[in-house]
Amino acid sequence: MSAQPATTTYTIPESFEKTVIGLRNALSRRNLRVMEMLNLSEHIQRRLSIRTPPCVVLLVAPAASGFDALRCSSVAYLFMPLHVVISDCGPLSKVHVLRSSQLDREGIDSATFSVLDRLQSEVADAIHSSIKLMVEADNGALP
Amino acid sequence: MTESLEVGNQIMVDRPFGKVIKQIKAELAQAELEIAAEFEVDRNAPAGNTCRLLLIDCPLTDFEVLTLDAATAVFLPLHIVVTSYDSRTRIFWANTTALVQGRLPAGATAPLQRLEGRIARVLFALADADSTTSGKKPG
Repeated sequence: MSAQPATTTYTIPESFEKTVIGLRNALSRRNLRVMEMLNLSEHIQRRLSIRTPPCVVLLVAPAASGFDALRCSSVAYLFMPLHVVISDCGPLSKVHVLRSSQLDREGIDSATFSVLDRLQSEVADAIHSSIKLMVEADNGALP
Repeated sequence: MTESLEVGNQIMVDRPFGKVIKQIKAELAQAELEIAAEFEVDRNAPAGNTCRLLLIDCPLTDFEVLTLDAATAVFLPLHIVVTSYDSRTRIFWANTTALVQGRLPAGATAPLQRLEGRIARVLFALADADSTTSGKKPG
């Protein structure tokens, strides 16, 4: 096992709700599809009657063309859609994503890795741009 | 037929896709596992095979994970890939904890392995039932 963490965590200086909206917008601007949003905290509340801090998982897929390379690879669907987790952290929010570089490369075809790497990098770009936009909006740079 | 691959496990069942999907859902429900999401993928695959992705979850695992480190939710729900091959059906799922070489978030390994184990028991039992009915032993 590598000493590197298997996930990357971004701390966003915004509330949970604003982060969810901002990140969804940033993903769609990059032509990434949020196939579904799973509300984990709501699910726990509904099934176990236990309150937990808000947490959602965005299931993110590349634009339709991105899946072309994966047509015959079942392995790709073990990771796709990519899970992007947004959790509430008081006045801040945290966004967690998988680091594809920390997956075992043996047994996973290079096409799958290349699509995963590209998707992960596009998601990271979307996160950075949403942070930038939210900070600019807070500073009054945007209407 | 069951097979352990480098990235996960594979079962080939001698029953058609529709019946296997129904059976998987029934068995998962019995084991108190839930299908958080379901996607039809690869509709245009060259062989015309149907492929469905099932995302499997358990509220108790979600709770355990969220109280320790929400980063673990990156691995949840777990994916099962079900593909039709004429009158047969292939079920494929990953051993996430074995696939990840990097350090997992704090407290992630135990709940993830438990969930993987529960899913594997359900799916291997399905393969066993199939080998009993068709007179074949799992490979």
